[in-house]
Amino acid sequence: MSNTLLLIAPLVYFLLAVPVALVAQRWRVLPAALIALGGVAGALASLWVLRESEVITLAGWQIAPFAQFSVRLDALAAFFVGVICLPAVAVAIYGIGYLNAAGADHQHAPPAAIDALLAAFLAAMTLVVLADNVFSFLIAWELMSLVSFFLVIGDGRQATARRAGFIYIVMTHISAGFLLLALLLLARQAGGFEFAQLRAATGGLDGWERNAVFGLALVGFGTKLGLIPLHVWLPRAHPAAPSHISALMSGVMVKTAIYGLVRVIWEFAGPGPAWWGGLLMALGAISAVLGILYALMERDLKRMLAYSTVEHVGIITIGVGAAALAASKGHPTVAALALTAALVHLYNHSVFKGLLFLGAGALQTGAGTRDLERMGGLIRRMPKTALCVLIGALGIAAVPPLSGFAGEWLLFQGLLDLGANVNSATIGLLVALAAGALALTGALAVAAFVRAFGVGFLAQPRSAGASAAREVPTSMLAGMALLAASVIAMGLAAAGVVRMVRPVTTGLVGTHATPALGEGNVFNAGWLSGAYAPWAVVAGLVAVGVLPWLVARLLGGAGRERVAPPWVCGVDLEPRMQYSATGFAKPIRLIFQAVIRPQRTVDVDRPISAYFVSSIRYDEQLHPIYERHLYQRGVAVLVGASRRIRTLQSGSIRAYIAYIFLTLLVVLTLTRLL
Amino acid sequence: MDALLTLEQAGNAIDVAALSLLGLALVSLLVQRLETAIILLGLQGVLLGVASGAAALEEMAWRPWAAFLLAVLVKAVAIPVILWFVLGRVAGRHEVETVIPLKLAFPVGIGLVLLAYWIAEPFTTGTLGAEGFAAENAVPAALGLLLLGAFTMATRKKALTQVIGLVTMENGIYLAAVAATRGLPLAVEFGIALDVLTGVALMALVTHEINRLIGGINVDRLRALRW
Repeated sequence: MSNTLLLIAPLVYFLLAVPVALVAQRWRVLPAALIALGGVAGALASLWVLRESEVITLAGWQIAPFAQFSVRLDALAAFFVGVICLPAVAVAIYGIGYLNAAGADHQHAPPAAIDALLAAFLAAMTLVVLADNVFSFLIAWELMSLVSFFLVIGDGRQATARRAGFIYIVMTHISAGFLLLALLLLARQAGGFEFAQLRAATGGLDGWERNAVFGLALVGFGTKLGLIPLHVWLPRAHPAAPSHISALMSGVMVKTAIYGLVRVIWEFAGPGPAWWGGLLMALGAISAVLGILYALMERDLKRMLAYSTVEHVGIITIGVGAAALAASKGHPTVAALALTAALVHLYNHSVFKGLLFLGAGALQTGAGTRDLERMGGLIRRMPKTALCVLIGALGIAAVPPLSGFAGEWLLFQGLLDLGANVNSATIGLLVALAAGALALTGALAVAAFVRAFGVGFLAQPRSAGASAAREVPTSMLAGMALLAASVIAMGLAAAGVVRMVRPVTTGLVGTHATPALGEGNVFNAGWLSGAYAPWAVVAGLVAVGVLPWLVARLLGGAGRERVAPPWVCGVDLEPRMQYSATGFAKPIRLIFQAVIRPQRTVDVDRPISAYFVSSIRYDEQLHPIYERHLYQRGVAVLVGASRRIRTLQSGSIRAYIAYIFLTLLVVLTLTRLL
Repeated sequence: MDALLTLEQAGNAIDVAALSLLGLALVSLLVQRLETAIILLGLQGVLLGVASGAAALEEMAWRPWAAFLLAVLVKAVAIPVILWFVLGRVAGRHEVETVIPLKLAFPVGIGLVLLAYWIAEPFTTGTLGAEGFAAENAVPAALGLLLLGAFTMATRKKALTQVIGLVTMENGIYLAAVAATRGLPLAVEFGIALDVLTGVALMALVTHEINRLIGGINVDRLRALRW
């Protein structure tokens, strides 16, 4: 009984918060407290289940013979409940101050409505990972998509938000359609809709069916995941929502697709042929490199973060793909290592991406802009926010003692192990390319976040809004601080996170990875690999950073500070002279211009003579090739066909009746003839 | 109480009523004035009453009598009265406006009746089973009413004639029900009657509104509403 309570406690809190948010509009602390409680309850339940390796099931009520709600909390689901619930607590706390802060342009819907939708969104995501049959899963999936759609469009007055919402809902429905097909195909084979039946029937699938299920699931989940080229909705929709919702969409919602992919690959469609893993690795590598490249070119902070999500989703997919490849080649320990890497990175990403989106929201509230070129100097005006964002940026750029490094390091270990163990030139090449892509991604990610933090927080304010920026309310800082602390803690206690994932990989792959040998914080990933100890890195940092300073201080005595104006060729120092975000990314843009195809327009205004320039307008845009070739063409065909069909829609009532009349005649005649 | 009619006699009565209904519906295609069309629709209701009355006389239980009363009240009284009332408030000439000429509509109507007979042929001779009446023309006539009603709706311009077409279609279904089942369960009968009544009342209301808004009931003008 108490176990069942564990299972439903977060759901109950989240669902309870929906009406409370709508009724108690003046006490927005109440729904926030309920959501936070649900988050804590869910995180505890997740930890308990992972610790005890217990499976809790609950068959819900029957709606129709095929339609029953049933939920189940096994290790995999518990892990994802944890992924949902930790950011949920921070987001709930952050939301109180964020939505109350006046003047910011995110207030496009009443706060109470956003609170209620936030609670519903969390409940839906929890239900997605808890669902134990096709029916519950699809209902929860649709609910999650719909609620987030409403959060994206807000009150529908902003044209960009409406357009983002439209693309989102279209893509998400295409995704749901593919998922429906995949699950129905499985259910037909299994003779039932319960996930238990689907698991049991895995052996009955022939090769063709397996591949079909995998292909459908890949498109369906890949769309939600934001894998390139299915990601078009993601950089539009995620930034359009209020920032704390973006944090959940980018940090958590896309992960439900990884959950689905893992379930399908390991439990429903069985370990498949090697090309499944290879395809996933290739798609992941492309998404990782292109995602971070686009992020690096982006001026809008939230769009940049959204593109960075595409990157990290790619990294996680490389891990899942490597695990699938290793499993199909009969290397369970390697598979366990790669899967562990993917899941650890997934958890870490949900925390630091959440943190960075909250930071973007704080900048919008404090400095009134999301445009990097209009920020600058914010570290002096918003020091606490700056500290939190800095921790998040270091984490996401995989700087060692913080959490981002652990997952990526593990993934490198997994890839190296895979390459060393699998005796095949093709796979070896693939692994080498994936590892290379991962390395490139890591370097570009550092550049991207140096650019974001440097341009946003350092130097001089580039706009009036930035120079008048104020620190954000305490509740927002508290939300960010919670996540920032988690980034540090999960980095230092990386072995603990790895140990948490252990029951998940044991359940799926049959064995757990050796990485955390239980020797404190030292990872040891097989014969080939190295070891990583976060505390040793901390000690090293202290040794090379703090000690020299101390020594210099001791030997040289207190230094003298002298304040002097900088030399700017004899004119006054102006913010326009600073390194701009666009300028910072220019070398990388040049190197990769064959891939990202930048197009620039430069308008130079010379009203008097060719030698006197009054103004220069510089505009640069990226035109992704897949958007032109894949989407615009498809949309053109669809719109053309629709227009032709629309002529039927004459608007005349008699015409409609005539259609019915003619249909009646044809049907009656056919029944007589046949 | 003893039955006043035998099964065969009731079947014959229903047969005659069905043929008359078909004739009435065909004549309605030629009618010029809306008032006449409404009166003919009322007469259709009366003939349906005859059919269900015959069924009641054969069974002599309170249930078919209640069904009979319901049919007469709704189809022969309530619907024509409502339509008449609406017509009184409608602006413009009370004339049936058609898309195709009346002279063409009549042969098409005949064609539809023939088609109905051809389609319903497998169901005419005693195939209705032990449950039904031996009314050979009932099912073809019902189908004919259905097609003629739909045809009326598709080719007339005024909202009121659309209502008339719909009620004609409904009459056809009702006729088939009486003939094939010897009476539906009373709950179903009530449901259908209320449905039709509500439908007609609503359509009358909408017709009235259309008249108020666009100064006439020509549905072609609604085309302007299209986006």
